Amino acid sequence: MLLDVQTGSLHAIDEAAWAVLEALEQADGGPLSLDSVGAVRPLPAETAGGHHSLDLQWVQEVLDDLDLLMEQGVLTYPDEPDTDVGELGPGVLKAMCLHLAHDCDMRCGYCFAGTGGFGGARALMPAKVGMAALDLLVEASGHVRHLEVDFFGGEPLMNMEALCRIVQHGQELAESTGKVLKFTVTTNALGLTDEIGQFLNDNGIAAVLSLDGRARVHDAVRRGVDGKGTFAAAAANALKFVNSRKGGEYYIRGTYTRRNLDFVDDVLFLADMGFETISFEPVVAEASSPYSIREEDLPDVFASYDRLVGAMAQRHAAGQGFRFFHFDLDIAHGPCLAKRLMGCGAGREYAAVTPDGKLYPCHQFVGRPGFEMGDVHRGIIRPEVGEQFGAAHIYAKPACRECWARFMCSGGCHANAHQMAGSLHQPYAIGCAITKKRLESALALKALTS
Amino acid sequence: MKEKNTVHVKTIVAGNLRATASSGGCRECQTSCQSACKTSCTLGNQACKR
Repeated sequence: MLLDVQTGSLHAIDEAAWAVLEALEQADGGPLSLDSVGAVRPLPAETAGGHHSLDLQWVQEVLDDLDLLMEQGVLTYPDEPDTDVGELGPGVLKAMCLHLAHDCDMRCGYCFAGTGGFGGARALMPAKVGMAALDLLVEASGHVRHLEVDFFGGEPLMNMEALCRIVQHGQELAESTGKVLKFTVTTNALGLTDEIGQFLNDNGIAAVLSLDGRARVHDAVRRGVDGKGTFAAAAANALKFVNSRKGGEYYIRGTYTRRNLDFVDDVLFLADMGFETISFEPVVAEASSPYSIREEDLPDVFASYDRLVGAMAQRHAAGQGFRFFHFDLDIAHGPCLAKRLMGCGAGREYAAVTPDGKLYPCHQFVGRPGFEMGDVHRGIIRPEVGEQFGAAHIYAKPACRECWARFMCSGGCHANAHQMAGSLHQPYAIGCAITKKRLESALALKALTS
Repeated sequence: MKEKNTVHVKTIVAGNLRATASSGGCRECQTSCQSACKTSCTLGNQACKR
């Protein structure tokens, strides 16, 4: 495959094209000519059986192909400066993550939220704080019509009374302002009763349900307050709820660690259970953690993604496909360049709200010193915090500027960068390696199923 | 006139990323970390709302 980074075009190439492109790369971006190729690989080369040889006619055909693609605007050669999108301007707040509960009914070994408390006291968000947050969101969102609110924790279902009142308030705000508010709840599913499921379905609330796959994998990390595994209860609740959705949006979200580098088997296990939309993420953990993914683990991680591509292509062909969040690339109709430049929007378009109403750039920055931005009553009172994030775009990060994945990854997770390198401008290298492999896999699956 | 076709390279997806430099930026799309991931976004899999 050939990805044209700057237009976002994807091409399938044969071995002759591969060989010519490889020669051109070695020629260090010389002109598209026989001379450039010949400077690296003598021409004409042997042609007998010639899959890897550079037959003169083939080379000319490939060069003609590349010329045509350039005429069509789907190939850039040599690389040009990345397109300038002009002044990005100040951020417009349009999404909030409400920490309904800094408490949890589980005690997961890898929890980045300190098993719910985010390093502070356990607390529930009063409904009036969440309602004030929505008021702020609607006011600050300006011309943007589509707004998003995620109920997060800890475990947000521990605070259902507030959740219901905040949803009702949001619906009233939508009615009076013409804004469209989309709600999502991220839950461990342990407390997902029929009654709660009915409320989520009736109010069109999307759900992200945490399950780590095979029972032994899940139970080794995702334990209850009593120390026992939670798979049986959480999986049963999740499956019952998903089957009740009738098309309602959901994702099963798993976390993989260095203890299940064969996580492809967990993804397929969940697909076999009947879940049709699945996302799996590498754990966020300090390098010293027994769960953290290390450089020496990457070959196994990559092998899992390779196997997942093969399995998904087979299931797709058999009419038994499922969706894997990170492989869902819609290359032709993806985000605009401005969006790709800015990435996740933390601190500019997105803020997390703590139970006592404090604002942070995102859920992972909650509690980190120096990142408090304001509160739901006064709004953003430290805009300089968000400005740091605005300045950390992909054109400003040395590691991103030269990376082929820059317009699909958009610079990676700021929280991971800050946690691992202490800087928003230095992406987390292992995260980059995984992201690039995941994108390669997504492109391969696209080619196999197109 | 006969249309020219490529021989060794087949376009699977014709991207228009450059063109969106002037047409984009409406901000109506999903905020990436509000999606399923929460820790590890792949921005390329977000859809444009237009």
